[in-house]
Amino acid sequence: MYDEKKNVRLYVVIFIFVCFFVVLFSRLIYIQFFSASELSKIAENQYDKIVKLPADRGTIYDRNYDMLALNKSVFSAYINPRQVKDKYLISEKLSEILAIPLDVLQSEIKKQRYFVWLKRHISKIQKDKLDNLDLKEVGFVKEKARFYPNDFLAAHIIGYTGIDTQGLGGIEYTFERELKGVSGYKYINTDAIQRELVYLSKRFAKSRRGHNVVLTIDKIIQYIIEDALEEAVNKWNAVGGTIIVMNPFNGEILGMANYPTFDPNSFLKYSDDSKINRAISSIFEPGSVFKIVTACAVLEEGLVEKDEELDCENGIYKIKSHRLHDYHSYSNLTFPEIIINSSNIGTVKLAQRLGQDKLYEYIRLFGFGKATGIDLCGEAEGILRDVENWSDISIASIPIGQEVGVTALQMLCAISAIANGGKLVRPLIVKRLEADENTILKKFSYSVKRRIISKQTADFVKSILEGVVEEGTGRRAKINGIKVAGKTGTAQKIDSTGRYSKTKYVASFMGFAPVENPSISVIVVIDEPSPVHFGGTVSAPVFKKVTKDILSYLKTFEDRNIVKN
Amino acid sequence: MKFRRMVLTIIFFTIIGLFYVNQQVKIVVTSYKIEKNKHRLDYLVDKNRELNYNVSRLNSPCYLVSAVKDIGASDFKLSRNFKVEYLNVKPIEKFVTVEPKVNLLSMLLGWESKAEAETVNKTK
Repeated sequence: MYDEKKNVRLYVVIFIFVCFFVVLFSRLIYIQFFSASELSKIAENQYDKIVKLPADRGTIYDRNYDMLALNKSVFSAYINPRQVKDKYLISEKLSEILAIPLDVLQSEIKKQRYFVWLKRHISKIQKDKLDNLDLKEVGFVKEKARFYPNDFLAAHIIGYTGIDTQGLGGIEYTFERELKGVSGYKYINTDAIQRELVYLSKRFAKSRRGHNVVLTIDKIIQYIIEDALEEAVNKWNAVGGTIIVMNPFNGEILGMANYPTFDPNSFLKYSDDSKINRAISSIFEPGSVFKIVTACAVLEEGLVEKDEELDCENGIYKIKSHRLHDYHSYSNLTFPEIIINSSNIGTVKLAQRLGQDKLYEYIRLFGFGKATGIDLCGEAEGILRDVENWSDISIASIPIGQEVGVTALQMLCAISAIANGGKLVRPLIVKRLEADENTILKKFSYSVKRRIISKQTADFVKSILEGVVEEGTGRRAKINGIKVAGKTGTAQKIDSTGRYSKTKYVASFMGFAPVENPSISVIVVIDEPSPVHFGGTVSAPVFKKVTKDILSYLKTFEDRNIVKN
Repeated sequence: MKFRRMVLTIIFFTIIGLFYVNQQVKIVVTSYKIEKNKHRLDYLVDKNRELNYNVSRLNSPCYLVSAVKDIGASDFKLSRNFKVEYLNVKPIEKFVTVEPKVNLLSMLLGWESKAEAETVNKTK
């Protein structure tokens, strides 16, 4: 009896165990054979990832390898709204630290998502404050951001980038393809706490760093001209201005300054007007500086003798229905004196000898009416009507710099052609592209577009322009101990009625030094100076200041290199 | 006899198996070290960039001029000439490090050779 009871209990226990193991094995078989593929997929999604390897953006250097634009790592903050319990409390804390309006933050946190950006590219102080809050709902992503250590310096040349480091202006935009590099990717496996298992990483494509861009500008020269320009614009209550410095022989731009300017580190705070590169984008009527074209043309064509005198009609000259005036009345002036004293009447009479067609040809030869081809976006071609569309009085306007629109860079290229002996060179802003410090990918060497005038003509015009500074309208550009050549310009602007304004002028001076072997050519353009508006009074002193400082700096640099070698 | 052979075979394959498992564990540990070193490299590269930025900023003429003005030197002018002095300084001798020798057995078994015994309660 007892044995039978014992056997029954044993069978019951065995039966329970058997049932348990049957259920267990059934479950195992189901997981292993029927759900295997689905469960593997879920596991793969958790542990297998494709990770993008972002490319490092190339650095922008000046000609001496000083950094003008570089990358740094920054943190961007995000939040997981689904994890947030008290939305109002967390919004208040974050709003104060990140300086985001409370209502904006609250609407972002209310979104039914797992990932919402709070703020991109936060400062170190903001990151530290958020770390101190120790909020598990808030996370950080490390990103690369573009920084410009020299603030305003050369802002219009370098340009600026957007939040995703895409170029939006200047060199950053023009050389976007070279600077941005190529992103890579890799397939990785991670463990339970998201650490990468390197040995299990499968295919990958390496990222390629962006190329470095070395500019032709010199940081010190850039600072000299920016400082002088700001001082001049403020002194003469001007709307703006531009200064460009160039090597007249190889076309390298050593400095290009514009005012107003902006800080590319925070470009959104500045107006669109301040971001315009006036040196290449703003068109203006050049006025008397344009007389050099007529002077070179008549000399080259042999239509005037070097010491020939012309009657300057005592200050009033009638052409068809138009009366042309000189600022000062002159009777007879020699050919050089016409340019030295900037006589409109003398210049127009010389142009009449040339004729419309020949004058138009020389204007085109000097590069006007066409972009110079500098490697910067937004360059204007200027305004030059075809000779067929010239009016009866165009021959009286165009030679003195009216009825024609030019950019500051075009004018500088024109006077550089005189400085270098008669050749029009293409302006260069980029010296080379480099993969790294030791690998040059591309060199940008100077190119001569064409010969405009003979060396003899260029040399004679140089002496005339030297006379402009020695005894003419450009006396305030004279530098003791250095021979300077140049030309002044005072051009009326068109007002809202379509007529020439009596109060708004563009004052300019362009020149080169030293005359015997020019190191630099410089143009200074001041827009709407007041109360004085003459190029000789407003722009010539600026030219003198910057040229003196730049030549002194270049001499110091040359001496330093001689000592080093 | 047969039983002894069977036991020896089991022991042999167990040892092989243990070596294989140890190798796999070493691979995983090494991959963690590689990842840690990568993070360290990223950190150093970031620091290097930060330093480059700071150097460029300090070299900036805008910063230099404003710094000079801050200390009250309003008469700051570009130098017209300068002098180069060469100092007679010996180059600093580099420290020579000796790599510790690692024997084959410790490599296989994952033992690290250390000069001193580790304390039990090691603080990080």
